[in-house]
Amino acid sequence: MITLHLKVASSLRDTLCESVRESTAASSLDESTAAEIMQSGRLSLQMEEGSTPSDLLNKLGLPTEQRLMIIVDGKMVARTEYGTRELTDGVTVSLNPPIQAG
Amino acid sequence: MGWQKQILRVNLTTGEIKKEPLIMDWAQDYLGGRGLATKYLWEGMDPSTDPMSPDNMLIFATGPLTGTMAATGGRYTVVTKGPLTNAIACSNSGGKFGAELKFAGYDMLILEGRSVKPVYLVIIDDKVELKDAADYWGTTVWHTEETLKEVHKDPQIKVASIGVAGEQGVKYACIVNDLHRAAGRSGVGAVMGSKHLKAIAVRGTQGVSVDKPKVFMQAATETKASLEDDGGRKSLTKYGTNAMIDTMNEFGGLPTDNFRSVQFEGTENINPAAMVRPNANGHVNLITNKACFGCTIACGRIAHIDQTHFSVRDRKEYWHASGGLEYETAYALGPVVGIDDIDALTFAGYLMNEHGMDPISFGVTLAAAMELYDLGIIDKQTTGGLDLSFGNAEALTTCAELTGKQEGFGVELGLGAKLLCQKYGRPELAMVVKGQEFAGYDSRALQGMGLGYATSNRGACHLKHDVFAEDMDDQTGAGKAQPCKTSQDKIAMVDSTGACLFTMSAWDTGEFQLLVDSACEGGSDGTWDNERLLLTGERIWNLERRFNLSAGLTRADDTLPPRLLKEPAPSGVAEGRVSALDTMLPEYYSLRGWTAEGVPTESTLNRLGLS
Repeated sequence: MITLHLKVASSLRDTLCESVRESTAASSLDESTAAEIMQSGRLSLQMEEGSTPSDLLNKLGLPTEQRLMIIVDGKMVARTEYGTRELTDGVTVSLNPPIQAG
Repeated sequence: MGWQKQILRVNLTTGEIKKEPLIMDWAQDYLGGRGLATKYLWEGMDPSTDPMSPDNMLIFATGPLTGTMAATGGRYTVVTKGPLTNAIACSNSGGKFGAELKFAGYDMLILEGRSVKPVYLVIIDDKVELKDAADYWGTTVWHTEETLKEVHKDPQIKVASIGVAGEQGVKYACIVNDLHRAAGRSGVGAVMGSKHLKAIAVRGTQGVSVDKPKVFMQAATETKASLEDDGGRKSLTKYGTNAMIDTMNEFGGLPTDNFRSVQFEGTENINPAAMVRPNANGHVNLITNKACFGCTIACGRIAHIDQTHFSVRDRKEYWHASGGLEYETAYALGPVVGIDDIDALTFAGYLMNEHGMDPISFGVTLAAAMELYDLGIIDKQTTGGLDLSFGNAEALTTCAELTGKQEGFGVELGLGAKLLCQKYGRPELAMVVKGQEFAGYDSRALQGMGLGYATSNRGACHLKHDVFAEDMDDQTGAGKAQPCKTSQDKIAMVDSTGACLFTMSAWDTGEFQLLVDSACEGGSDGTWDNERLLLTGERIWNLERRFNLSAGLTRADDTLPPRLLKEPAPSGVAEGRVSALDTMLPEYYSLRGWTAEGVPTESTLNRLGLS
C-alpha cells in the first residue's frame, strides 16, 4: 500500500463529498472522510501500489472524463498520463478544476 | 432585425441630441457592441486625440443579442480612447443597463464634446434630455443611482454612473451600472468624467425584435440547454469565478506581492470555501449568487461584511449586502498585495463599486506602491503616514477609500502603476502592458496568456483571448500563437453580439451562428455562418490594431514587464521559466498577416475589407 496526501480545491470538495454520499462501488470513502475534505481540503489516503491518477479519481468517485488539473508534488500530470503515471508513496496530489477566465 | 436600427448621438458641448439611423452596412460588417462601436470610433475621431479632450468619443453599444431571449443577452460595451493606455478601450458590462438601452430603442449611444457644467442624461424611450447634475457631482455611484431612481420616481430606471474617481480623472475609473456591475477596465469612467457627464439614466418600454422569431426561439432554447449541461457553467454558478484562485495557486500562476511570487499562502482564507465558512463570530461572507439580464449562469456574488470587522465596525452604511468577491477582485485586493483578510477584501471591493474604480488596476497599482515602500523608495512621509507593507489589510482599505475620494496618497494611486512607478524612477516595477495592469494570471506559468496580454489592443487583459487549455497542457511558448490569434478573433465576435464571454465554456461559433443568424438580417452575404462570424472577429481585431497604430503605438508596446521576461518563476509548475514572448510574438505576427513590425499588410487589410 502507498499513502497519498490529497489537496482538493475548494470548488471540488462538495462534488467529491456528493459522490461519497451517493456511494457506489467506485467510491469507498466514508462520511467522516468527506467531512474532513470539506473542512480542510486535505486528506491522506491509502492506495494499492502501482495506482495511477485514474485509479485515484475512480476511488474518489470523480468522473475520469471530466477535465481536471492534477499536480503531483508541484508537477503537472498530462491528461494523457492519467492512466499510466504511477503514483508513489508519500506524494502530494493536488486536484483542481481546469483553468478558465475569471 | 436584431438591431433597433437607430442610434442616439449627444453633443455635450452644444447640448444637441440627435437620433440617427444605424448605418446598416457597418452593422453587417461589425455586428454590434465592441465591433460596431470601434467602427464608429474609427470613422468619427482622430486616433491621436488626447483621451481626456472633448474630441474623444465615448460610445455605449449594445449587440444584436442584447435584450433578446438569448442566454446572457444583456451585455453592452463602452468604447473610447482610454486614458490609462492612450489606446483603444473597450470595456464590457452586464447588469440590466444594456438591455434597457436597447428597449429604449437604441443600438448605440454616442457622446461627444464636453459640457460646461456637470450634467446627466435621461433617456425615457424617445424622450431624451440633459439635466443639471450639480446635486450629484462629488457624490458616489451608489448615491447617484439610488437618488436618480427616487427623483424620477421610477425604480425600474437603469443607471450607469461615475464616482468622484471618474470626475477627478483617476486613470482606471470605471462606469458602474446597477450598483455593482461595471464597464471596469481602461479608465472609461475618467473619459465620462472629462465630459462632465455624471450619469445616464435609461428606461425603455419598447421591445426588441429578431429576424426569424421561430428559428430564434428554437436556437435560444437549444443553446440554453447546452449551457445548462456544461461543467464550466455549473462551476461558475455554484462557486463564481473565484473558484480559479485555488487552481491558479496550485499551478503557480497566482501573482503575489507584485508578482515577486506566484503562489500565496493565504489562499485558503479567501477562496470559495472561505466565503461560505462561518468565522469565529459565526458570520458567513457569501449570501447568494446573482445573474445579469437574461443570464442563466449567475456567476455574480452577493456578500456581507462581518459588522465587527475593523473596516465597518463604526460604519453602518456598509452593513448591507453588496457585490462580493470574484476571482479578479480576490486576486487584486488579496494575493497581489499579500492580504488574506476576506472582510477587508470584500470592503475594498465595495469601495471599488461605490467610487467607481477598476479593482484590478487599483490593486496592482497598490502592489507597485507596496514594492516601492518595501525597497525604501517611498516612505511614510510620502504615503501620509500609511504603512504600505505587503499584507497590511488596513492599508488596503484606507488606500481604496483615499483613491476613491482622491485624497492624500490616493491621488498618487489614482495615476495607475505605470505613471506611479515612473514618478519614482522605477518603471520596471509597474506590472502593466500598454499602461494597463495585469489580471490574475502570471505569464511565466501561462505562456499563451502572456502573448495575449502583450498583444491585447486594450493593454493587459485576460478577457480578449482564451489559451487556457493549451497553457494547462504545456508550460512552454510552443504552439500558443495560433490559439491566441484564433481565440482573439472569436472573442471579438462574441463581444460584438451582446452575449457574455462566459458562454464560451459551453458554446463555440456554431451556437453563435444559430443565434446571430436567426436574430439578424444576413445582408448581402445572406447568412451569418461560422466563416463570416470569425472573419468579422478578425476584422474587428485588425481595426482596433489600426486605431492603436494611428494613435502612435508600435511593436515596442507589445511587450511584458522585465520581471516576467527576465526573472524566473520562483515556484509552481513553471518554476525556473520566464516568458517566451520573444519566440511567440514573431509567429503571432506572421499568423495575423502583419509585418515584422506588427503592421497589417495591404493584403491582410484587403482580405478583411479594411483598405
